[in-house]
Amino acid sequence: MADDTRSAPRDAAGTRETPRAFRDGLGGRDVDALWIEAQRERGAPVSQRAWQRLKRNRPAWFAWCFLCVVGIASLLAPLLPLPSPKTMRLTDRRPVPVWPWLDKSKTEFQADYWELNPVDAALVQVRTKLYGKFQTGPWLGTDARGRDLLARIVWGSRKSLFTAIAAAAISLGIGVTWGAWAALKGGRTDRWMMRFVDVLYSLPFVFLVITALALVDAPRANLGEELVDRELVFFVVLGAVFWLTMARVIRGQVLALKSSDFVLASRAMGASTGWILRRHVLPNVFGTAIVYLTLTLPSVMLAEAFLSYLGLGVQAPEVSFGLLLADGVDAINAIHVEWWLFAFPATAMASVLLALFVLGDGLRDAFDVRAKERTAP
Amino acid sequence: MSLLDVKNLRVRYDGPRGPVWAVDQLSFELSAGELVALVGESGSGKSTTALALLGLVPISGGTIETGELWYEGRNLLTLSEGEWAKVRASEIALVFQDAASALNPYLTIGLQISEVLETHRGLSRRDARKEAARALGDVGLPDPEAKLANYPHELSGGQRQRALLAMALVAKPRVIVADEPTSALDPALGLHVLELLERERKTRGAGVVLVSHDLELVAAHADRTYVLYAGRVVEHASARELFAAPWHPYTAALWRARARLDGERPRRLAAVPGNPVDLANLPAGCAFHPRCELARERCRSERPELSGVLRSDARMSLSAARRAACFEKESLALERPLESEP
Amino acid sequence: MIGFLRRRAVGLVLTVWIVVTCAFAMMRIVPGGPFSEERKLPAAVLANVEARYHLDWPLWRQYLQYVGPLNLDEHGLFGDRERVFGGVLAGDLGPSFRYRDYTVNQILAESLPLSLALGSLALAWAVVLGGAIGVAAAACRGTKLDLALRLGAALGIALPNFVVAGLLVLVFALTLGWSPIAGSTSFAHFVLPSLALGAPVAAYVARLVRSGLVEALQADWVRTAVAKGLPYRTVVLRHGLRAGLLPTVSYLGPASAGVLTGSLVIERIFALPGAGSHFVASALSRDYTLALGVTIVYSVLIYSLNSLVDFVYTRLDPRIALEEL
Repeated sequence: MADDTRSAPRDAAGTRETPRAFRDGLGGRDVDALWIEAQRERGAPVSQRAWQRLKRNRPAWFAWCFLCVVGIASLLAPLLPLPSPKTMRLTDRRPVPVWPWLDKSKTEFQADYWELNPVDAALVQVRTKLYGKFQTGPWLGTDARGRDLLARIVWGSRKSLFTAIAAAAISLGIGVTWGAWAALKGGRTDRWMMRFVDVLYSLPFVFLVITALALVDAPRANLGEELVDRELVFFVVLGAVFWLTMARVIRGQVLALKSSDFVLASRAMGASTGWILRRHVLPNVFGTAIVYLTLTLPSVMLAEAFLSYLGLGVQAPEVSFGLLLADGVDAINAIHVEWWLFAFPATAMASVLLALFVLGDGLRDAFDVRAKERTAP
Repeated sequence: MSLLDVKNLRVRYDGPRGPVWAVDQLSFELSAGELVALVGESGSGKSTTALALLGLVPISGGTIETGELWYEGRNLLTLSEGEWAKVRASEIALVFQDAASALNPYLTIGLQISEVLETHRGLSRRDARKEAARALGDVGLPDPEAKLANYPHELSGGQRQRALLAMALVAKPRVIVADEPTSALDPALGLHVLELLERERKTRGAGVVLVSHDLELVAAHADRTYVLYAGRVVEHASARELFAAPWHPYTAALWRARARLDGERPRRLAAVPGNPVDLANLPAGCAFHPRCELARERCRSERPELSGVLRSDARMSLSAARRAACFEKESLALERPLESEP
Repeated sequence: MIGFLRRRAVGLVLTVWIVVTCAFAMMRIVPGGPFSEERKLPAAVLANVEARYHLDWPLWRQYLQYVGPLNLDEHGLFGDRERVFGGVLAGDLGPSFRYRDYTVNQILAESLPLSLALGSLALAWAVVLGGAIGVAAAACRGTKLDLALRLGAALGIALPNFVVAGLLVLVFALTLGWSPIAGSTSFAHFVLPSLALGAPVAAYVARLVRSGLVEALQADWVRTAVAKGLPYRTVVLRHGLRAGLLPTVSYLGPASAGVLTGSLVIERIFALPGAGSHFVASALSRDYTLALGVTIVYSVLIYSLNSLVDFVYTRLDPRIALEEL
């Protein structure tokens, strides 16, 4: 192995010493040690045990706390004393980030948003009552049109998270239904349903997604906005792309459960189907679904960014991570470099995605879900 | 002169709830041509001991705290990893329990056996393959030449276990450590594996350490037996003596709990009563006392040493080397009739 | 072997058929055509143009015409009428609506080689860089270096490739001036795009290689290999590496798909005239035939690469028989 040049002394006979890190991790665990480990966790229910294990996994626990903070902040974005992410200041534009304590400019808040839903509109009302005309300064700088970057990032995270959760929930719904149905029906139904999934796996989905979204966008003039709800198409299209893995994993899980000893045993003892479903199938599938939901979220957010960059995702004047990043990449060119437009949104999105990955991995370990991500068709 | 001499072996595992000693103050010896059995439940430390004999404790996540492992005038525990590599398989070989996971699924049986010879005997690839075919034939596999080209999943469970055995025996080691070599096999095949081990020790004078929980097997084949509980030897005797009249209540419980293949069926599948020992939470005094029907006040506070009994009774004259770690061994030894005595 | 090829050929035809049908249906269900949004054409001219491309035919006829099971065209849009098969079945993807003087085949012949070169280069980077990082991280498991490498790999997965592209441009083109910014005239022009395109894949490969190696080295059979007294090199190279790399091999199928689709954005950023940028442009401008053509070609590519990867996998893992795939 070419890479293992570090600390590899040779002994007298010339045989190579095992580098310590490799040696420590070489070979299976001792049966006795595994037995000792198993002893510690007997008794507690699956989800409780998973929660305990997640708490012990420090990176995953940290990621969970971070995501909770981000989630609450973005949920309450209209309540925060931020400028409106839409208000442009073309005349007195102060593009460069300003330290909060050096910020002398006192601009006044204008409730100038895109068409908000009733709840958000009410929240903005509350915000106006709470802080009046007060708003924070351009702590993270402003974009090319003088819009406050911090406000845009907070509102953007809101949009991106909401999109991701909506699309992931759709994929969860389709995936769990499809996979569980195939597994429970079995036989020919199962075979055909899974063959269908295999075929879909080899489709270049991004192309179809782009085609679909381009179609919804292009004929605005003759179509009229009310005919197709663009947002809904966006969620459904994204959700429809990401349900395949979920369906496969859930099917495998349900199949394994169906023939597992404890289900057979409770059936033999006369347990009803409903009881088995409640007691054995659902708790086990629940873990898998949570794990894959967490792992689907980053993929959806990446897809949103990808599509927004192409102008097919979230539409201005609303903001999302994808739109912010697209602006950021455009702000880096040979003429001038406005680094903050690139650096802050990229950091924000990367940290959220990173936290989701770490949490997903942690949950996978905690629920001990070992499923092949891709099985040979 | 013993072939292998283990002294005061102590193995620690560091778990999330603090350190655990899987093997504690374990001593035993093995002579050439002898078959010694290590017996106990799961978690008694018998598998850890088997790994320790091959220097495999560090890669399994444990640490050897103290102990000596004398073989041919060398304490093997002081060897470097490179020196250990020369001992493994050529001097001391290990037969793993589960052939399905112990054989590499991506390599042919032939390669996996012949690489032992290429490494330790310096044979060419062709000679090594010839030797490997011979070794496969020796363990009773039909058509060994063809089996060389097979992958493990293409063999049956019994064939795999025998291939694993052939792999361990091919370099003619002087000590063979067999970790539950028969537990995955049906009784007939298990017997066959034991016969192969017997042959090794009779024809070549190899010493065999048999790790097992199968008492019938141990009673039938072992010369001497060490009973392990919570990482310690609780009783040591010749196999015949041991099961004829156990001195330790744990041995007695194990013997009662065995699934009998002969004689009448037990009313229900018996087990040693109580929960298996939790090593992270060892009770004070004798580790077995929570499960022991003879436990006294003294057992809860003081740990009994491994020792013999006063030879006050003629029936115990056989037992010069016999040891047990129990305060009640005298009464146990006296109250049980020695069935096998003439 | 022959059975495998036959099954895959059937699968390929099925896939392409589904792609064609879905994409065709999506494009034609929504009202408005490629010419409806352009500067207002007089009604007569519009009718003329639509008649030229048979947009005035009923949908089913246009579909049959495009797929080409029967050559319905009397006037030679898809070829002469002696041929029974035309359209996609005959490898003819039709004329482009946007680039009036070109057929889709011509456009693809010009742009696809560039995309493929970019993709292969990106995949090569990804495998080499990702593999090296993964092996290094596995070898130094538990150290600070391992943590740093894993964090870097996680960032690579967490950032969209166009952000990586922006970062690379900022550092290597604008600040250091080592690389040209955009264009496609020399090899140097391809370095940054391919790096950006390969970055997420490299990060994923690194993760897979690391976890694969770590897991493989913990397998029972690796302990057996150590117990056989084999030298450390043999233990790792012969007994650990193969099992450790299998997950990476099976990821190469999705990886190539990721590279091919990722190039849609990368080609746009670096102004590379590849098939990906054509696709985006054509989808936006409703150039039906070009968008469909690119989709079909990419489907075939992705499906074939997946099949190739499956085939290689069976060579590496003796437990999986080719007959089962």
